[in-house]
Amino acid sequence: MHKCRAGALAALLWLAATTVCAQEPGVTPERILFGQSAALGGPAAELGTEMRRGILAAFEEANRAGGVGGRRLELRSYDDHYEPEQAIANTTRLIKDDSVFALIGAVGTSTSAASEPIARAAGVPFIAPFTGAQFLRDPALSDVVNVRASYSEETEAIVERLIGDLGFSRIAVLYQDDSYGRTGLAGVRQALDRRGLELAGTGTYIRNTTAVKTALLGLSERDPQAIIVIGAYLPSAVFTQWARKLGVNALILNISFVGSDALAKALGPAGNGVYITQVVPFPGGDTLPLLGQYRKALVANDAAAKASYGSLEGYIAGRLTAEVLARAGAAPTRASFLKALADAGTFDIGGFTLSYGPGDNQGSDQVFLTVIRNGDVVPAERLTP
Amino acid sequence: MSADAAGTPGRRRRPRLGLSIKLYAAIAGAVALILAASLVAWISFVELGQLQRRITREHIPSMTDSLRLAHQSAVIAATAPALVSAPNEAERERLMNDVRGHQQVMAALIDDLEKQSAKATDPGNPQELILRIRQATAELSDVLDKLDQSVGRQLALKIELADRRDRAVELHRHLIERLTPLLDDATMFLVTGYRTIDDVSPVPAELRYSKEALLEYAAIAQLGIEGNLLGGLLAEGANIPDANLLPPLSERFEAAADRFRAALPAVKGKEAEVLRVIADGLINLGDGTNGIFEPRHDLLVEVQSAENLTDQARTIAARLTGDVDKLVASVEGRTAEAVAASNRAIDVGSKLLLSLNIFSILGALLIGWWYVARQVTAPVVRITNAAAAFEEQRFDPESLGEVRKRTDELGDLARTFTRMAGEVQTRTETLDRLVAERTSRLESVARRLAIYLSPQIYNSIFEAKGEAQGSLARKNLTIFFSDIAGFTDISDAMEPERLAFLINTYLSEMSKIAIEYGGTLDKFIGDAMLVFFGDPETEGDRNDALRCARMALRMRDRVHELDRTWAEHGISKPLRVRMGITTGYCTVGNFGSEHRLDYTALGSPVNLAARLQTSAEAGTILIADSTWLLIRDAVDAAPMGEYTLKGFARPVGCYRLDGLTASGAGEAVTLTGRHVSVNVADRRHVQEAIEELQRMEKDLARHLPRE
Repeated sequence: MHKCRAGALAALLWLAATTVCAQEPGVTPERILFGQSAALGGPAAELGTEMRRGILAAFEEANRAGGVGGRRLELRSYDDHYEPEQAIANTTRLIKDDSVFALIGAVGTSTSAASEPIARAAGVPFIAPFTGAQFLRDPALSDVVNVRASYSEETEAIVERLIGDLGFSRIAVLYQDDSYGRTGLAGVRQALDRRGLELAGTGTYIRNTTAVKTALLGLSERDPQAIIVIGAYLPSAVFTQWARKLGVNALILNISFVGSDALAKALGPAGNGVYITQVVPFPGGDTLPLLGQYRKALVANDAAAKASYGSLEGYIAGRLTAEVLARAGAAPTRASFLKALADAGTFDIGGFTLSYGPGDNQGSDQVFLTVIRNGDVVPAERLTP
Repeated sequence: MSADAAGTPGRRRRPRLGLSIKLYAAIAGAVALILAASLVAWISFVELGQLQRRITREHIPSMTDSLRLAHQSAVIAATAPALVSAPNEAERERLMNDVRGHQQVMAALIDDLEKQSAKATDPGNPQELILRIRQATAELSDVLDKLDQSVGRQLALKIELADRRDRAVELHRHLIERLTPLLDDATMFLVTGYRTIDDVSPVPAELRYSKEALLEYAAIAQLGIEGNLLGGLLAEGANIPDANLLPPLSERFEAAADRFRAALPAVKGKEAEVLRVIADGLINLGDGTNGIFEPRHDLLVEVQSAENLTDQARTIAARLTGDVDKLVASVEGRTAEAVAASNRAIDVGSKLLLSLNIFSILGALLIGWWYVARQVTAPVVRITNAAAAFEEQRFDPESLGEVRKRTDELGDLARTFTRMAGEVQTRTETLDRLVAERTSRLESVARRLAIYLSPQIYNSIFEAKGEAQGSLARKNLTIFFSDIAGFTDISDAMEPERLAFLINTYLSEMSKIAIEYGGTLDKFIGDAMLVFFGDPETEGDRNDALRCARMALRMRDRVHELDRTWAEHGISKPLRVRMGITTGYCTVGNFGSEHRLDYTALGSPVNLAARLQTSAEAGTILIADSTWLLIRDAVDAAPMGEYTLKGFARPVGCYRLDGLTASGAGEAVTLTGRHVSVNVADRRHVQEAIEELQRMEKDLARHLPRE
């Protein structure tokens, strides 16, 4: 009799549990599955790879501590080659076939622009896209959780420095001919507008090519004091090398998306004095507890891994995700996840503060300046000619 | 029957029609009327039933089928556009399966309708319409099949085309991604003289600006232009809406391809081979059945044919829908007609039924009034009236004259009744006469008897109050006995006539007084008289005794008054009467033999009264103590001591009754109903009485309720 009742109760609980779990895709009593569509191959491969590495480091760190609410955090990543069409296919596959709980660590502006609407339509959170594009900062996009500062904040910081530190007025832009490049271009233009200045010139190149020479020839005619590159590391490197070869001595500055380490590697000796803005602190530093935790987690997950800006951003995204999940209740849902994020508002990830609120889906506004010296990317306080 | 008739020969001339037969006939008449009404009702119902059956068996199924047919044809007609826009094979298959299902249902419905119309019995049979619907359905099915095949081919072509277009886009992108760096490098070389980053020194300007070098640069630029054109033309061709525009497009494509191939040798080395492979792939997509243009052309042709088929299907469907609408309308019309007929039948039937009911009710009333009332009820009423009249003894045999002529049971009854009434009348008259005679004789006897009897006794005999004969009773009576003192002497000295006058007036007056006071005059014994109070009516012992005392005093006074009368008649010596009164238990009743009975009182009080009378002085009243004890408060009596009387062992206390005390004279005023009686004992008291009455009048007026 009692046995019978206990059995029935257990069956009922099991049923209830499975029903609840069945209701929310990607969530089982054992795990929560996240999906990532990013460039894991092709010219932008390093960006996606590093992002994935950082997220995994954070996830594995949480899993070693028993998971979130007893559930392991898992990540499934597909390569989109930094192409929007492939990103769309990957995102659809992750949502429909793999039933991921949320998307995390998308890389690129054009790819995010293509995949975010799909995630939004399915009600899937779109966490920490590796892009500073302005359209993802639209307050109406309640499904998007940005970690990093926007491109316009980066370009604003660059222009501020160029004028403040060096008193430059002739500033030109080399941009990739897509939404990423145009977003950066618009950011620079706005920053100059605010100061009553005009662009000294613009050059452009086709994505996934290194056909930057014609643009360089065009720009060199305008004799700019500084050239801000809104592009990928390989074209940026080719551009810089050819500029130096042709004796164009303008200061060359990149924004974070360029991929600092890859850029430094590709530039070789020509890299000296090339500036890069970052949206996370110098990963090798000790300014925040976060950085030590990050390096420890990174090595714990992959002994051969080296600290990088990309993986640090991924790590912060992973940490944030775990924190929000911990507050999203015993049976987290996509809705409760986003509600927990909005309710908590501010998160302190090892001293790195992320704050969200109504009309603000971007956690950090910080921009850090770095410079390449002898093939290494190091923090810089200010610009020097 | 014949034996009956033989048994009563000549009794009836007319055949006998019995009452029951008449009643049966009346009932049968009424029943016949009802049956007639029922027959009409039955016929109406049968007619209605037929109409109803026609509606339910023929029209309702036809109606349902027609409406379903309309629905099915609408669904099939709507399928053609849906089929044309089917996005994939699965949808096409599903739609066609649905269509086939609907077609089967339609075929079954048409079969059904045909069967029904073959059975139909009313005019306006839509057989021709059904035939046309069948034809239209078959045509529509044919067109839809063709359309389905066309759509199938379209889908296959679309898949093929989409595949090739994707390939074209991919190749185009690859081509541009290859060509752009080439042009970029060529530009760098042309401007700076560097071919690669590793070149230590640039090529001098005079070398790099040669005619060949410039032509080579232009060729590379043209490759970009032509490559873009090839990709653009392919994309345009894949989406071109008009098949006529395809040939010129194809021509432009071929021209661009030729120009591309002509410029290609400008590219040297490994890169040239890669470019050629990509370009060949792209150019092949513009050529023949494996390209984009031909399948696009086929698709457009197929779309056109599908459009034609859709138009055909639409036309047929419109015809079908029109025919089905007509069918529905026709079935509706037929149903409406049947319903109208049924309504008419109901109307006529109900009116007919109503009038028949009225007719049968009137008929039944007529039968009741004309036949039953006149033939059956009226004679019975007459006989009843005759019986009532007979009871009141004013029966006129003529009143039954009509009824007696009847041949049925009522005639028999009237005849028998008349005969019986006659006999009873005769006997009653005889008896009445005898009774009257006897009564008058009895009345005269009673009158004579009244003289000899005390009125109480008389009344109790003739009005049957009390038991005149039979039982005896013991009662407490007050006995009065009187005798004229020295009557023997008086009678001797008087001639018989005067004596008779004297004794007669005396007894007569005394009797009156005795009756006036309610005494029972028992008997006269010569001049003596015996009166008693308390039987047959008593007012209680005291009142009986008091009445007796008053009577005695009145008699004494009356005798004084009579003395004057007698003196006028020459009887000089006044009469003196002795009276005795006593009270005690006596036996009263009828005593005597079976031949002669006398109602009288017997007992020692009677003897004692007689003895007291003899002991009384002449002109006085002697009462025994038994009476005195009852009335001593009301009378003025002088004790006379005790008398020892003959026949009585013990002496008896005696009193001489002299008069009444004031209270004994009775209530001064007695209110009896609406009268006031005034008892004035003395002339002197008249004035007092008048004063008293006046006082009482005021008193009464005060007490009487206001009116």
